[in-house]
Amino acid sequence: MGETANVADVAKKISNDIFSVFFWEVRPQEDANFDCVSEHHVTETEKQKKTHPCDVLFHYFDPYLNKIIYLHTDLKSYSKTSLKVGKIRDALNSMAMTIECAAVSEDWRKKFPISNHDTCEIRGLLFVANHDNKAPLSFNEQLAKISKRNLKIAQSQVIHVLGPKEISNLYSVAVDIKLAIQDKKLSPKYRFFYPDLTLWKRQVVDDERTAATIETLLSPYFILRHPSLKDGSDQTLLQEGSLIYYSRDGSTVEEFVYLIDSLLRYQLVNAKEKIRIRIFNREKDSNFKNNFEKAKEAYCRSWGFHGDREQEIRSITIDAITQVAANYCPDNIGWREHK
Amino acid sequence: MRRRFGPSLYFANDKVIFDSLNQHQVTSDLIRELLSERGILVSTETPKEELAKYFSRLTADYYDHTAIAVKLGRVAKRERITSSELTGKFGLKEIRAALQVTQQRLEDLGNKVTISSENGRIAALIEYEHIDYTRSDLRQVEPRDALIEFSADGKDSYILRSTQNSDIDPIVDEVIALLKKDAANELTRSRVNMESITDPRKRTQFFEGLTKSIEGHTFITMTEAYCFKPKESDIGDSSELNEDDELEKSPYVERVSLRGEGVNRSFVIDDLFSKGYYIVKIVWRTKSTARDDSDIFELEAQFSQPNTCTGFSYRTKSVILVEDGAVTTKRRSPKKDEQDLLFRLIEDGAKKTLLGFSK
Repeated sequence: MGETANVADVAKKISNDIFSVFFWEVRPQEDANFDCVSEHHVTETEKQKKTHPCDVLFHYFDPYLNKIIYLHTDLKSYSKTSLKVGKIRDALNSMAMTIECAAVSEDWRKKFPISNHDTCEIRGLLFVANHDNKAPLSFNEQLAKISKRNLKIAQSQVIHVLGPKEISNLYSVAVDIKLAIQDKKLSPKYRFFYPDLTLWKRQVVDDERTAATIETLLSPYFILRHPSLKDGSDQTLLQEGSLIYYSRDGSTVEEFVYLIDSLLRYQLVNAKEKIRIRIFNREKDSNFKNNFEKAKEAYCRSWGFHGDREQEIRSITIDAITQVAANYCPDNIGWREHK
Repeated sequence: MRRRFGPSLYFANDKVIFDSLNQHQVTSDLIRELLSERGILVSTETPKEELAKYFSRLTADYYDHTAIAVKLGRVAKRERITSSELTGKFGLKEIRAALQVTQQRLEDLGNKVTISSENGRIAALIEYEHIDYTRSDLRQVEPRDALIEFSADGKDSYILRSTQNSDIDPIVDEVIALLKKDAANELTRSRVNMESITDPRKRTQFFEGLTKSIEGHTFITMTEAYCFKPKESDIGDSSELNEDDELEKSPYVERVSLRGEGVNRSFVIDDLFSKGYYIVKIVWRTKSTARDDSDIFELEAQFSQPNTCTGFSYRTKSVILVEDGAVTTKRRSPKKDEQDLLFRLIEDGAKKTLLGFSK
């Protein structure tokens, strides 16, 4: 198993490196184990469980659900040799039991005092990094082998999984956002965009610092809205607008036609606002810019757009983020066994 | 083919996705699979509607849209085939030229057409999108394949075989019109039809004759028969009928369908025939006489325009497996060569039966 880093330090590091940019808040705990309150929770050796572990608790506000989402997080990292299907399954089942208890445990509420005024939901988050840098992609292959049917997740409860690939992507986006702010290409007062849907409406006003939900971060794309940016002499450095982080590879014209259609449906495309798309897929297609240009042309043609309307579509830009981390790993935290 | 608005795929909003996932043929397993692709694991005990609500809240893009449409999509259906006999002063060269003109036009509209030719056969495979605005958003655009095929049948004569549906029929007409122009109008097209024979008994006899004229095959049973009776006002002069007369004549049943086994021999059908109904569509089973244990073919033939008994089309529905001499309940799809042979035999059988009437 090797050296195991201090979990609290690791939690602080990933929070600073990644999740602070997405406006997630964190509650690191030194001793965060809490009592098990379910009789049917047993260890692999069929012994009654005494406590459930917690490495870190992240939370954010979900604007559609109008709830605070607590992500009861389990931090793990593996090397090429230590990654095993069985270990992932055990980690998921342990997490399933943890959140089942957390939802009803007095001890949990004592350890993680949360406001009684807000409605909240406790979910699990399995955060898995690859510390020897030799197998960042094999986690998803192993995860796919697990029969999700047989996981012991209780009704209506949810576990999110972030593997090395997703973590590295999010880290790269976080770095890109920080750099953009530093280079005056993005206002620090950005927010994440939640369009009013048909069945779901945003429950808060748009100008709050709405966080990115975990679902948003794992979507094919997500949108940041930002105000304009001015220099000391009140000269506009950057128009207000939208910054879209796009996770697909850009290999087809159709995907961009669809994306443009989505942006128009969200009513984001107008002459007063700047729209920039940034691809963060490591395996982006070398033709992505070409495909995007073709998509703009095809879209304008299919709707018969001319003049100013065509210009609005034409001025949407696309670029790739400068560098996508091959593998982000905070430290070796090992596959710790839970009792 | 229908004209469409804007691009072929629209942004599907959350309600469209929710409705699609809530259809009864979508399983909870499928939604759990879609969620797990986003790193979201849920309980098997969570009800389907709750899962559909969850997924509908997520951002979906082009790839999600097409993946869901494929997962929801039906198995590509085996389309009906129709045929005509073309005679005139033209050859493969002219056919290819006509097909290429049509190919150009269809490809300009965004379809894909592949023309291939071998041993006196020339075929165009058309990949197109069937648009049906009556269906839910994720199923409105359905990719389909269609075939238009010419094969030489003696001197100056070709059999034209094509997929029969409302998208392809006008394209076939267009190719023939081009060919006709090229052949200085010396082109005749003949198709199997019973338009000139209005006697309901004879129209029914056509189908019974057909089932027994499949060369090298024995008729087993007829499992479906669709009987039709045109409204009298459609045949005769309706100008003198006023609304009251119409009411007095009701009730009126236009179509009756029978399903089972040996439906053409049932007493119900005799009664229908005596009241002026005739068969316009059948499904029957037949097997090759070559071997005792050959599989059973289930075939379908119909006139698409029941009033006039025109638009003859057919298809092989399925193949019922015979194992150790016993008929099983297992089915398989017909193979390409089996289909080719059966199509030719159905065409020949239909022509033979028609000839019998004119004697």
